[in-house]
Amino acid sequence: MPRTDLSPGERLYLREAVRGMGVLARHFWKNLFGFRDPAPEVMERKGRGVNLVSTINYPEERKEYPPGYRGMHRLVPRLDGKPRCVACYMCATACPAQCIYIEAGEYEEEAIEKYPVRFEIDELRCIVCGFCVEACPKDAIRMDTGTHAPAVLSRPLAVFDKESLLRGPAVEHSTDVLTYRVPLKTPPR
Amino acid sequence: MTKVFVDGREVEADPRDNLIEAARRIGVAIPYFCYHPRLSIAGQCRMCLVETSDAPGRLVPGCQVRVKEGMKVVTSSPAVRDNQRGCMEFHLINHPVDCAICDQSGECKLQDYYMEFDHQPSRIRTSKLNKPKREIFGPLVVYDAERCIMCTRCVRFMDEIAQEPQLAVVDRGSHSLISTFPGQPLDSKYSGNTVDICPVGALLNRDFRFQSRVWFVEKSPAVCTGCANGCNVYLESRGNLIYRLLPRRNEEVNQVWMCDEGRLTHHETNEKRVEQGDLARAIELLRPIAGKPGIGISLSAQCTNEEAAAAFDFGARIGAEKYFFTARLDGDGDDFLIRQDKNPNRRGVELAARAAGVTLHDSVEGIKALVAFRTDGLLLEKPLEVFIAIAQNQGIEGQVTLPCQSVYEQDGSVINYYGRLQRTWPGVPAERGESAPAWSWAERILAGLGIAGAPRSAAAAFDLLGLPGLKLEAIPEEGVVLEQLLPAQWPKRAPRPAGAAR
Amino acid sequence: MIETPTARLAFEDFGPAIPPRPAFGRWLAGTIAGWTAFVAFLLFISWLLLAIAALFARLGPIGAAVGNIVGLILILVMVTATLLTMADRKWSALMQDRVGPNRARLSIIPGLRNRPLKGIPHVLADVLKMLFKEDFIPEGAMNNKVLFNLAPLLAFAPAFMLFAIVPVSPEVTFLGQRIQLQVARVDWGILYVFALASLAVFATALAGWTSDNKLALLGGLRASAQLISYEVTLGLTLVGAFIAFGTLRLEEMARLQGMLGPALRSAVVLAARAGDFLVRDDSVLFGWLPSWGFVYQPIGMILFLVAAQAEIKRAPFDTPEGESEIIGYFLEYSGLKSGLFLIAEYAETVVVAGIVTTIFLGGYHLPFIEPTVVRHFDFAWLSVFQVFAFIVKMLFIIWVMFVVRWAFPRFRYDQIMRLGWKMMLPISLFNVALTAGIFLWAGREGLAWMGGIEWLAIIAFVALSARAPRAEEAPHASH
Ligand code: SF4
Ligand code: SF4
Ligand code: SF4
Ligand code: SF4
Ligand code: FES
Repeated sequence: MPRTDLSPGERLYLREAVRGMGVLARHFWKNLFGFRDPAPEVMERKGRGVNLVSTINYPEERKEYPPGYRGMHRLVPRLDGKPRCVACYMCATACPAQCIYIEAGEYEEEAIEKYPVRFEIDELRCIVCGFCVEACPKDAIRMDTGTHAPAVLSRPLAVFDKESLLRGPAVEHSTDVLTYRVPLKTPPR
Repeated sequence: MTKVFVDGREVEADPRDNLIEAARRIGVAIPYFCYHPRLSIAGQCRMCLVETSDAPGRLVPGCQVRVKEGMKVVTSSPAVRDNQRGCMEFHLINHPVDCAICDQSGECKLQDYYMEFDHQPSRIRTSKLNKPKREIFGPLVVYDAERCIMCTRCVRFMDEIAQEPQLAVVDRGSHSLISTFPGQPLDSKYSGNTVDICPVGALLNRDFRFQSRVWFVEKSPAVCTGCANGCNVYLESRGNLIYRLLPRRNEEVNQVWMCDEGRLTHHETNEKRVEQGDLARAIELLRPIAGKPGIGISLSAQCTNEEAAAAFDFGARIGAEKYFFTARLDGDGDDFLIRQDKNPNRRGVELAARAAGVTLHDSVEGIKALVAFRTDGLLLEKPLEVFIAIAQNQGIEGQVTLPCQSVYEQDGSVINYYGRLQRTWPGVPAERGESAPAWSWAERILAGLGIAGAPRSAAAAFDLLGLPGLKLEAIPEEGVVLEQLLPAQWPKRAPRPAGAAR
Repeated sequence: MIETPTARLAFEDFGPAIPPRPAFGRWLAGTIAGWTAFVAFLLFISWLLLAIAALFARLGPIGAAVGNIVGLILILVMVTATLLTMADRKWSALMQDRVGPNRARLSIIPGLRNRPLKGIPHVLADVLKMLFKEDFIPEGAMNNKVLFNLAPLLAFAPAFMLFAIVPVSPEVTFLGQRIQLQVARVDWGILYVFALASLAVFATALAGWTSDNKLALLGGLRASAQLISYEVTLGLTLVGAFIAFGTLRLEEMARLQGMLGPALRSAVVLAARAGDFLVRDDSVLFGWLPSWGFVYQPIGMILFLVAAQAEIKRAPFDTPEGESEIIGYFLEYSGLKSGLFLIAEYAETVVVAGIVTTIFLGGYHLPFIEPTVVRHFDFAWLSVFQVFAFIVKMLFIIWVMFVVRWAFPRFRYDQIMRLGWKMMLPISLFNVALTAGIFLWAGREGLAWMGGIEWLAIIAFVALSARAPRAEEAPHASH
């Protein structure tokens, strides 16, 4: 169907066509020779001589997750390296996916006598809701790792045990000392 | 009957009722820690204070004050509320609030009342008092002095119910704590009850400690299999494990108590179980000898009524010659709850035998083949040609061992020492292996041999007991007294039905 | 960078999320080094092509031909076409501010494990994929298995054969042999191109028909009609060039666009005598304009590019493929055969670029500096630079064709037909007549004047043609 609302000159689209090729060529040369800035803030990729490609080459380049991003879980260590967790099962109770499995055990000599013998999270079943973090009364489980659960080659590998979850910086709250009756044997790292 | 007014509503109360019980009759809950209906009044906690028309402008303890005709009780005036809030704050001053660790959380009165009456952040800015934690009181009980609110329920229980004063309050003021006497652990046979009555997590059951959270387990009623008293209990179970037993109130059997030994009976259900059985092989072994002389049936006093009835029915159909009765050995007894007979259903097996018209022999002899319905106390002098065991726990193995469900896992009934017929319910959610009630195995063996007509359900097996007018489903939760089995003599302190002989 | 407690913890724990910014200096050095290496590589390839030809030329005239086949067709066209499969994707990515394919790795080679190498390994991956994919023949094609298998060959072979008449270097003595980088020097020159190019119709028609698939048949039909239509224009657009150069032979046309051998030699000798550093390029028109074909035949060049684009079925003339609608005449082909179709398309692109370079962009000639190069080096070195120049010009034309490909949406079938028959054919006829007239009246000088005026006219026409209404201005935005 010929378009009747365009004049013959407009219908040629000649100038626009040439202009379009010009745009492509400009982008081509700018991106070919431009200085590629790997900073993931897309908005900043402007300016003279800067490459216009705003793609982030994940995983070599990562964009920082926004504050409050719920990443992979970690069990927060105390200053002596043991988990803060006291196996209270609050997280397992709150978890809507029922993907947290805990077995409690007893320390012989510590004031905080309860600790998790096994603490497992099935990251495949986890729906990353963060309820466990909210539920924890001991600030013992956090999702502040800034990473997400890695891809795995078989389902059992997505079940993270206590040893692999226990990582990251230790955390100590001012109120914690009240519960330490015996001096900590290991000095703070 | 005394007429009182609780929050403006009229209550017909017993003249012996205190205000807490009177209010409870119309569903008004006055909070309390130290009051226990079966213990003396201590007035320790002051949580129960209410306003009455007798003492205007003052608060009186609801646990201590008895009802009086025409008395008006106010349970939720601002003054009462204020007292409750203050009380909670006092109780929590030195309380560690380590609910995350505490096994009591979920069934803790402090938690409940905090949510209901206090609900404010702590105003304490100083360190809390440190007191002994995790003090082992006895074989079953561990004590945490920081969590204790000094209600003295445990002390009073040991004095008044167990009648073995093993606990006492020592020190003064906020330093006071509960202690055993030097060199004398809390080893009473009823020590577990102190854990139940402790309103907070100060006394905890060492057996249950850290095993599970109380909100994960499912409660179901049952009858304890520890001895012939047949205490009513709740099973708390999850998956195919029972985590703990708690007494279930039955004023005529165990009131609200149970013994320590009974508390541990669930371990038999959890551990060392026979899980798989070869039914086809059992049938094959029995096929050539069925109907021929030389078959004996043994059954233990651990069988439920239904299993016993089915055993006699099985024997009749297969042509058994002799019946043997086995039982666990007698143990200690006392004049309160614990009976010497450590079997839950000796009276029931005897009743079933009478109904079937058979005599029971004690020692196994004079037979070539034996089918054992539960193997507790079974002694075989010499090996038999055919021995088929329907057993719950490993230990005594036949040529074929068929897994038997425990009494806690099956539907049925037992008769206690005092002739009380009591129902048990299946109380474990998940099945363990192939285990089934013994009557079910009997039925399946018979079906395999081509003999039909054996009872196919617990109710059908119950009907073989010959108890006219009684159906398994119709047994009330608190049980039925079988008049013909009532004993002539009762131990001194044993709870008993109203009007039973002293 | 957002500084939050969480971010700080994550940093302590897992290192920076953002890789450090490369320093500008390093980037500049890298860029310069990279492009220098690229130019050096092209120069080396130019030398290599000449060296191969010289080596084979030792075996006699047949050997010389074989050497050219190896050098030009197997190395130059084949490798360029293969790399173009990648370039198509990478260049389009650059034009669209994307990165393009960059995930394939040569992980078997230690040290290259985690290096994307700018996506080059994708070429290998593609080849492997083509080779190892199942060679599937649809049930309906079983009756015509021979024809079905013949189609990709018919598409593939002519594409490469076309390059036979393209001269990549002048006749030169290299390593002691008299050689010219051109497979066949024939009298009928460009007519060979027309003849072989029409063979592609057989490939598409056969592929479409034997596939026993209505969409493939549709693609084949469209291709046949399109190819035949544009062949006419293709031929006519070059008639102007024949008139301007007075020959059909491509090597002659290329030779005529720069200084002829004897003139060059005498100019160099004179300059050597005078001691001049620079030597004047006498072929330059008006002192500044290289006397290349585009000067004489602006209309011819533009129309030829368009017609060639249609002839090799590349976007925007890719209705025979139309991957978003009918997938195309090769719909039922898989594995290597499908690969042949694809590579044929890129080979045709190379050939078209080569022909355009030869006829309109001065072939292998370097403007202005040729005599100077000879003055300071010799003819052998000049030929290396000339091959280099040819390759660069060819790559530029390919690039232009790709820009066109990504700039224009696919034409509708009726638009293609209308464009071919109602616009390009009359214009090319007019061009022939005008060129012939001017040539008779004023000779090649006159054609140069005509070309200049035509360029100005075209630029003015484009500049003054109506701007398309913007979307918000258009009274009816819907079609
Ligand atoms: S994030 Fe949600 S689903 Fe995942 S473990 Fe925590 S509570 Fe469960
Ligand atoms: S809620 Fe916290 S302390 Fe409790 S079990 Fe989970 S991680 Fe441990
Ligand atoms: S006694 Fe109650 S309030 Fe105290 S720690 Fe235990 S659960 Fe929490
Ligand atoms: S241990 Fe429990 S029952 Fe005993 S006084 Fe303390 S809070 Fe009360
Ligand atoms: S219940 Fe009345 S004072 Fe404790």
